[in-house]
Amino acid sequence: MYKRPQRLPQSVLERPQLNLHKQGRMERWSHRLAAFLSRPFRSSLSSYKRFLRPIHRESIRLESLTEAEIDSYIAELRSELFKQGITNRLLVRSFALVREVAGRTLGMKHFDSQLLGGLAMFHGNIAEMHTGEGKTLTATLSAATAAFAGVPVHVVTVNDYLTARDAEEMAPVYERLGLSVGVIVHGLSPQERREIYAKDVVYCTNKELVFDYLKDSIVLEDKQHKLHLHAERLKGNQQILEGLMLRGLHFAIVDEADSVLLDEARTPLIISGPEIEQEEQREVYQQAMDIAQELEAETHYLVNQRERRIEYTEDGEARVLQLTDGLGPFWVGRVRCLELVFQALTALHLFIRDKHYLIKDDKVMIVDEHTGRVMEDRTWERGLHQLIEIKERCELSNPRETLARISFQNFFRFYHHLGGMTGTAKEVMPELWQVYGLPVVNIPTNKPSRRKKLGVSISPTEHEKWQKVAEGVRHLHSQGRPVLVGTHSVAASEHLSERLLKLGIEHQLLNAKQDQSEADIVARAGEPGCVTIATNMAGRGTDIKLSVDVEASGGLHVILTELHEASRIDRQLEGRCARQGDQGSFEVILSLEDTILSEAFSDLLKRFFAWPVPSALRTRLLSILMRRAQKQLEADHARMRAELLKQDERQREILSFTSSKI
Amino acid sequence: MSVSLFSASWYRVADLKIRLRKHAHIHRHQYRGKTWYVLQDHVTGQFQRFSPEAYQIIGLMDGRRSLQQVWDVSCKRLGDGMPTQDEVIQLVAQLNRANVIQSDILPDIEELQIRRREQAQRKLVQQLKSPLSVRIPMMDPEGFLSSTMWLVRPFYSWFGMLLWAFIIFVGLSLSVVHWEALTENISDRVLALENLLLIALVYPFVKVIHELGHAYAVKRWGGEVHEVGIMLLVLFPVPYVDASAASAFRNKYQRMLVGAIGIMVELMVAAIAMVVWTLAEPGIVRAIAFNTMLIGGFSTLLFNGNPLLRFDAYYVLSDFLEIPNLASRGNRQVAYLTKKYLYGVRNLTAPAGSRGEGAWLAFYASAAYIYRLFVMVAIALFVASQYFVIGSLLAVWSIWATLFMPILKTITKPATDPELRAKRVRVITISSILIGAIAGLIFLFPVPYKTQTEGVLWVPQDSYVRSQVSGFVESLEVSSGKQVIEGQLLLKFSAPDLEAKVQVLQAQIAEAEIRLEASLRDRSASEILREELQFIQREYQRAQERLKGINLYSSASGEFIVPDAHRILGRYVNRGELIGYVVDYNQLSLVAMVSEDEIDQVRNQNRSVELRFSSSPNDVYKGEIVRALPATTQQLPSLVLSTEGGGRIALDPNNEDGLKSFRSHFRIDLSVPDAPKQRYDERVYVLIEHDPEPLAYRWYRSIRRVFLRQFDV
Repeated sequence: MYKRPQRLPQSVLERPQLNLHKQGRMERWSHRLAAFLSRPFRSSLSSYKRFLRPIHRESIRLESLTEAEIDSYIAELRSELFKQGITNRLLVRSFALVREVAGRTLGMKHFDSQLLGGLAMFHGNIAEMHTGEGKTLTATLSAATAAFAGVPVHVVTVNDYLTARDAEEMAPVYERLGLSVGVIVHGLSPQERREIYAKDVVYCTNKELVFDYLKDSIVLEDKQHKLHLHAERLKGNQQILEGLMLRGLHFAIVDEADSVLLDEARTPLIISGPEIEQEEQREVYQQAMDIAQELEAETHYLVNQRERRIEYTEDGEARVLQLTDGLGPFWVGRVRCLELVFQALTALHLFIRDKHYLIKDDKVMIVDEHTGRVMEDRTWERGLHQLIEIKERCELSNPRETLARISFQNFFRFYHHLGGMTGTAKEVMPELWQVYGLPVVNIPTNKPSRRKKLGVSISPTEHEKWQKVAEGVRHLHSQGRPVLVGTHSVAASEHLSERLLKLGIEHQLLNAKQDQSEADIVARAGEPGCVTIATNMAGRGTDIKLSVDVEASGGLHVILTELHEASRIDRQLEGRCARQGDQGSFEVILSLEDTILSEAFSDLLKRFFAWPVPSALRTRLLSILMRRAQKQLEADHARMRAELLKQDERQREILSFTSSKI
Repeated sequence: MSVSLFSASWYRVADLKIRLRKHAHIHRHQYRGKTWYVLQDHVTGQFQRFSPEAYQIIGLMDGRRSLQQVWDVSCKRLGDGMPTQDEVIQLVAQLNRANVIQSDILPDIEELQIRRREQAQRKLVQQLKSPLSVRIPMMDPEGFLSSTMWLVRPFYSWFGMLLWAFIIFVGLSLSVVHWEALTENISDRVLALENLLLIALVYPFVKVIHELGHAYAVKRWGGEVHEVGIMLLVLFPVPYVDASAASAFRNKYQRMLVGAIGIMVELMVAAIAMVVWTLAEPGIVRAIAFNTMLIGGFSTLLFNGNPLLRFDAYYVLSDFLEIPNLASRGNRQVAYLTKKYLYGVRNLTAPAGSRGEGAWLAFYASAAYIYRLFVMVAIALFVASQYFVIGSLLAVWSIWATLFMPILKTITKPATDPELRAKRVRVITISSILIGAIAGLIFLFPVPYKTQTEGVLWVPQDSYVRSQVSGFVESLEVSSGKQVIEGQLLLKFSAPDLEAKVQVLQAQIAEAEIRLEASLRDRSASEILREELQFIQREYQRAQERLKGINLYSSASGEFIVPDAHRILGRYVNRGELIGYVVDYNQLSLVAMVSEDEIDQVRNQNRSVELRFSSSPNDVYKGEIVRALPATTQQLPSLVLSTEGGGRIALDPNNEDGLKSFRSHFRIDLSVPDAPKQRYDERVYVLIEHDPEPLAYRWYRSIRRVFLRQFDV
């Protein structure tokens, strides 16, 4: 609970990281019990509030210092922190210093809420700060303090855009403090990365960080232990040492912690080797696809869209074996035949264009379901990618061999010290504690929120919903207010875009296809009368700045057109408006044909819709039911993550005979 | 589609080069007509069983091929039975856990250390999980066994077998001859205190011989024994020996013999003890011999000889059936059957290789479970009654772990098992229907409720014909078996001494009268004499009255029965001795004894009473309870009801002559209007039917009673 970062050896040689050991049942239970009993203490702010007054006292003293005096203050503080480690007194001085420097360089002094958030993160918690409370600035407190104490800090954000923006905005503060800052974004060379990782504070995206870690482990091969590396150094094997990038996993501050640590936890990050030319596979995949198309749903296989599962029936298995009989040397072995055709069925029925993947330049691109972003260089495994290419009649790529893989869930647990911040964590508090040992501390808002909630409206069909959305947009547009419409999928965003075009409303579209211009689109979104349609990629971190007339006319209006798979994502979108005490409004327009409802449930609700019930009551009931369906989905996802974690643990145990740890 | 050929983790193992370590040996075995390969690790003494496919793969691991090559080759060779990558990884992991592989990478010391610690921990947890059988290893007997093997070797032969059979034969014949002497009041002898001490003394010796038998048997066929120790079985120390090396024996009869030899040795010891017992004088030697027999014969067959307990016979049975791990695989088979047929999960692999094996597994698992249910409850109660707090805790824990955990696991499984979750609705529905049905049966469904007891056709005291004088029977006025009426003359006695006494008294009266007359002048003397005369006259009258008793009249109407009528004439009979009965069969009352536990139901809730006479068991008569005495009694109406007389009620062993029962009972009188009563002192089986009642209430009452009786709570 009261853990602070500690200085550890920091070089590519030592690479300190936490060793995960398998938790026994007793350990797990005691952990859970501790979580339950300590909940009131962990989430209380009182242990951090006592620092506020000393910090302010120190701040007042600092205000009167000249720049030169600040310099010597910094030098003294650094050497003290190096000598003594982090003590309460030094912590106070450091926080006050960062606050003062931020005030001088950026003109923004940390508010109390931000100080509290910084303290919570610094002590290994997740600070739940409401959307728009200035998390970027908050992070500087903990990051700089840890860096003063000689602990390398990774500030982890969700995408390149946010990483670059945050680092750029905060760079003056770090520079003034005499700390070096680096930014890891897409497209840097290993040599550059190595230099950046050597800096005191590193801003990076979660994916870049993990891929760099994986690349390091490929370089290391079976020399994972630091003693191995020392031996290599003694042997004069400089090559291996020069190939390494990270200096160990010391302290990470994870922005949008719930998204990184939970929502994306299930995505395995894979580094693949070079392509392997396999001409004969083309024919095999084509055959598999032909067979899959010959099979009939219901009689030969069953598709469960909600759980994303396909199952063979007994007839189906027999039919596949019969069809594959004598097809060629590759079609040997019952398991192999069934699996190939199964993959083909999966490609046909479970993967939907513009939802799970895009076609760009005659290539299949995977879309990240959580962020709506295109994931470059990613391919599906075991022929699935090739089969989808066949399905979409694209050029066939060659399969690649996996070299290393890890999931976020496992990676972040390697950190010696972990802190995080997010706007939405209260729903997942127990999970964060169980998986990462991270308590959640709720930080009060600085200014009371002025967000107006305009309520929920539910239409029976998709068509009527879009009509309503378009109507609402037109109305607000004519008033000159900016509108942000959040959609669930790329396809939905394009559908709405077409409708608006027909109505002659000018708008901008932000989805996986317009990745590059994201910054421009966000910058314009707050202008008067600007309509922006975005998939949930715009949901996190983006700060839409409002002009003065917009503020006066009621601020940004956000429309949510579909419930996402977690209410946290909805709340994130809601958080785009009315930031930091601004004005703003939010409304939800749903239909009973939304994907969150299963078909049977949707039919049931539609029948209910026809009943003669007062419409207010009806909407209320329906929205409760839809929220319930969302809860159910959240629970399903949580269970899947828990299962994956367990499976990973089991797999790690099984694979303990291999030398590589990932 | 649960099986996939490829594994996401394959890249981590694809380049590994693995080979078996030198201390691992593989034996080829046959189980139920199939070939299996048993891998023996000489360092840890552990065994793993592999299928021929796995054996092929292991065979390919020679330290030069990478796992990728091994997999490619085996896919080609095995065709349809090709292993999935996950299976190969599993196999290597299994071998790694068993510490029998070596790979081309540097071993991770940390990893080895963790594994060692985990193994130690697992062992500890295993012990904690079964606190009623804790193993404490003591030493390595290999040296001792090797140097003494020459002594024993000759006996492990056909000659030894014949010798054994002979000794057993002798012992058996002797025990048949002396059966009565042996079994006479066995429970008293066993439970008397000194005897318990003797048993405790003899027990370790017998068990040590038993374990040595195992150990030498393993040595005989080339195995090694590296661990002996003491097992705390229900807190009682018993030696054990690790004979697992026998699993390597290819011949199943050798394996069986290793398992069975302990019982055989003990039986032999018992047989020798039998010989000693017959030859020895009563005394300490004989007592020791008796106890040795008891342990060697009786307890061995009961515990070690029972395949449902995991002792010797279990291993013999599992070797005989050629199904290793009978118990755990049996449980898995039951789980599999439940999943498949009850919950309708498809694509499962059965733990059993064939139908026969499956049937055996399922049968064994269910039988053992039911048996354990009884044994555990008995053991738990026993232990709890000895040491209340610890005992109760231990008992609760063992019952929980062996009986309820398996059930609970199957119930909670759907939440964690992905296969079952897919069928969640069906699983939950069926489980709740089943549980609901069982709970309904137990708590709601009234089940016929009956109390069984034994009664007797009881001859009341006033039907006894007792002699009123001491004298010789002179004549039988009514022959035995005839009907008599009240007041009819039955017997005539001649009582010469009484007659003589009457005459003497007559003469004394005459004398006293004369002396009284003569003393008229002396007033004080005459008063004394008068008193004397009156006294003698009273005596005379009494003698006269008793003399009347020489004619014995019937005091009731009925059939006159004299048990030994043909020998009674001329016999001298003491006053008050029983001569016969006058029985009116229709008036005979039927008395039954009811235990304290059952009396409440019998008295307040009887719907009907059914009776059967032991002489005509096919005829059922209706009766009713006429009277239920409100007080308990230990006095039995007839010997018939006691265990001595073939009944159910134990007599108080401290009270030699009387009909005093050990526990108190209530007496109820029954009337059976329409039953033909032809015999008296006849056993009657009584069945009292109560209002139907759900089982739960009955169980609750009996558990409550047990607690009251055993623990006073």
